[in-house]
Order: sequence, then structure tokens, then C-alpha cells
Amino acid sequence: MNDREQQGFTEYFASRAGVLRGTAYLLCGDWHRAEDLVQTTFVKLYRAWHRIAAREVLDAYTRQILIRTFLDENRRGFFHREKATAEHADRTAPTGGSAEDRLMLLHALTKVPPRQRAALVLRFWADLSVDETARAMGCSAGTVKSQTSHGLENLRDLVPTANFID
Amino acid sequence: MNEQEFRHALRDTMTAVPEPPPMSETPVLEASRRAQRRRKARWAGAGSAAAVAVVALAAVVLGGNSGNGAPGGGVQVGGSGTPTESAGGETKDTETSWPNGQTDRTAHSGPRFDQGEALLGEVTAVVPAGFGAPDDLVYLDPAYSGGLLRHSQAQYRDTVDGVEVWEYQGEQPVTKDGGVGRMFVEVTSPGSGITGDGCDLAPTLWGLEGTCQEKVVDGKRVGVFTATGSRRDFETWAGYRYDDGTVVFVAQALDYPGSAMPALTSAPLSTDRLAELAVDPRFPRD
Repeated sequence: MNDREQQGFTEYFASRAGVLRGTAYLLCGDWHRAEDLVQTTFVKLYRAWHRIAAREVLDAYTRQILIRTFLDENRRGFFHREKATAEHADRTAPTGGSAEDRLMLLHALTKVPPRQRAALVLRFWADLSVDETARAMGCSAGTVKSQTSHGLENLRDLVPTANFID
Repeated sequence: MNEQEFRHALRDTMTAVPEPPPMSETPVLEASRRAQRRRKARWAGAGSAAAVAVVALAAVVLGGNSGNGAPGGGVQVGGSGTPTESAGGETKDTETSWPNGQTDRTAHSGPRFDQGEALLGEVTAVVPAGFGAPDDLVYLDPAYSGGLLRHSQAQYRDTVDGVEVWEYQGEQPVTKDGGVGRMFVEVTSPGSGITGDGCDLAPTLWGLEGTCQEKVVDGKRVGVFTATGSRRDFETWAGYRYDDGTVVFVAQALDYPGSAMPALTSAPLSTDRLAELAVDPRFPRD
């Protein structure tokens, strides 16, 4: 990677790492693990950086790496060996009823199966279309629809009483 | 909780959750450079191994009197190229997470790869008269990172009840009057979870949106779809599900994105022919 490419990569990291970390946090429910996921994502992106001629596809490509890394690590049981928590060491827990609901949602999301969780996060947090989600997850649009539906069903079962709308 | 409620809830939640300080690029850059150095070292190692093997083979051949070992030596030289697959930079853990020692979802060699190549051969064989079926066209649009337009793919999909489910694809550029389009076949082995027959086949190819007309070929129900959605990977495609669960999609498109060539002015196949090909026994794969 030459100096110009290096600078472009560094600037891209600065502009996108925060957003990706938020997505990763929703996927794994833990800020430390989210940062590990983002770091792994950018290490893989670094390797391919000089080959990506179309910068307009960069966000989709990077998100695809993140999602597939997350799913691969789940396949290998990485996330099962170390229990994920929704708490970050530096954070303070919000107080009040709606804050509890929010925490409950985050906890519940970590209990939804990984592929369903990925579909939910991409569809409703990243606001991707069904087809874009399918491409990121490497599956068909029909699978995304069914994973989304099952994911919402599971969430309803996990938090049947929570009111998520303020 | 409906979809909209969940969307709002996620946003509220992420607004309320305190974030740690922004990530620094320094550790990421250092990790990236380390990974790149390791990768180069592996490439160098693989290259050295290949060089040693070549020298060894040359010694055997030039020696001239050890004929019983020579054929094996040739195989060994080819075999020494194998590490270059893993030299692609994937970690060892990732390599072992796919079946048959693959480094990712795609089979780059072996029986599954061969199945994909054989399928591609069958696609080429059914290109209709009057259309060219070139095997040397490459992606010219730099956004597509090069490679041949004519290609096959064999990819692991899942393991269901102990049985591996595989997808095989063959894509053949089809030319006429200076334009290029595509013929494409995808075969999914039994156990994929694709259900229904004819127009009830679900999900249809890649989840594309389209209107469907059902055709019956030799008593078999085939769904023939015409794209309607914003995503136009193909103009028309036909799908058939065998009794054992094997699913075959035959598709065509007037253009070939990335080819930097104009599109065809007419489709190579009629919808009747698409339906016939969907049930053609030449396509199913295990």
C-alpha cells in the first residue's frame, strides 16, 4: 500500500469505524467484542484495499466483511465460549422504566440466534433493503425475510411486556 | 412489536447507550501491517517450497535413469501449489470452519469444483445456434476486479441433518452482433429448504421479484418468471424442483455488467425453451 492509499484507508477508518462499531455492538452485545470485530474487519479490508476500484461500493463491502466475520466467529463457537454482556466497563446504566426496556432489548437481542440477529440489525438498524441484506449475509432474500420474521418472533417471546415506544 | 416499533426501539436504545471513546486507527493499522507481513512470508515460503520441488523434479528428469519416480514427481510439483490457497490470508481457524478443508464457502478445487465446471460445460452446450459462446472474454470495467466472464462456482450452503447442501452455478456470456448477454444455471442440491412447485417455488432465484407464468413440461410444473423489481439481475428465469429436492434455475439476461460491451437486442432463449431446460436432466448435481 502506497502513501496515498494508506491515507485513504486511514481517512475511511476515521469516518466509518464509529458507525460500524455501533452495528457490531448490536450484533454481539459487547463494546469490547464490537471493537475486536471492527478491527478484524478493517484488517481484512486493508488486504483488499488496492483492489477496490469503486469507492461507492466500499461501505457495502466493508459491512459484508463485518457481518460475515461475525457469523463465521459464531459458527466456530467463539462467541459461545465467552459470554457476551450488554455492559461496557466504562458505561453507567441508564435509570428509569424506558431505560430498563432498552437494556432488556439489548439483552434479548443477544439471545436471538446469530443469523436472525444479523438480519434484524441490518434491516432495522442499518436500514438495508432485503436484497442488500441478503448480499451482506451471503444468502437469498427469502432467507432474510424468514430470518427477520423469526427474529422478531423470538424478541416478542423474550420481552413480551416491554414497551419500546416512549 | 412490529417492524416499525423495533426500528424505533433500536434507535432509542443506541441513543441512550453511552459509547466508549472513538477507536484509534493506530492499532488497526499495525495489525493490518502485521497480517500483511505474515501473508507475504507465507507466500515466500510457498514459493520456496515450489522452487525446491521444481529443482528436485529437474534433477530427476535430467538424471534420466529414475523413471519409476518421475510421474509422482510431476504430481508433487503441482501439489506444492496448494499452500497458495491458504496464503490468501485467512486465518487457520477460518480454514477449518468450512467442509473439506476449504478456506471459505467456495470450493476452489476437488469434486465439488469439478461439478461446477461440468455444469458450466452443460450451459455452454445449450447456447442456441446463432449466438456465440466465447470463453475468453474478461471483465473490462475496473470495478469488477478482472476475471473471465465465463465462470463456474461451487459453494457450500449448509449442512442439514448431516447432509451437505451445495449450490452450483455456471454463467456463460452469449454474444451476437457485437452485444453480450448471459445464460446462467444454478443448481441447489437436496435439503436447501426451497419449497413449492411451478409458480409456488419459494424462494425463487436469489429472491428476485417477478411475475410468474406456470408451464408444464412432460407433466412437470415449471415456474417461468419475468423480472419486475428494481433489482434486474436477470430478465427471465425458469425454476423446477425435483422430487428429491434438487432445484434448478435457468436464467438469462440481455446484458453482462462489467463487460463494457453493449447488451444483446434479443434474448437467446424463448420462455418455452427456458422451461424445457429447467427440467433437462443434464443439469442436476449432488
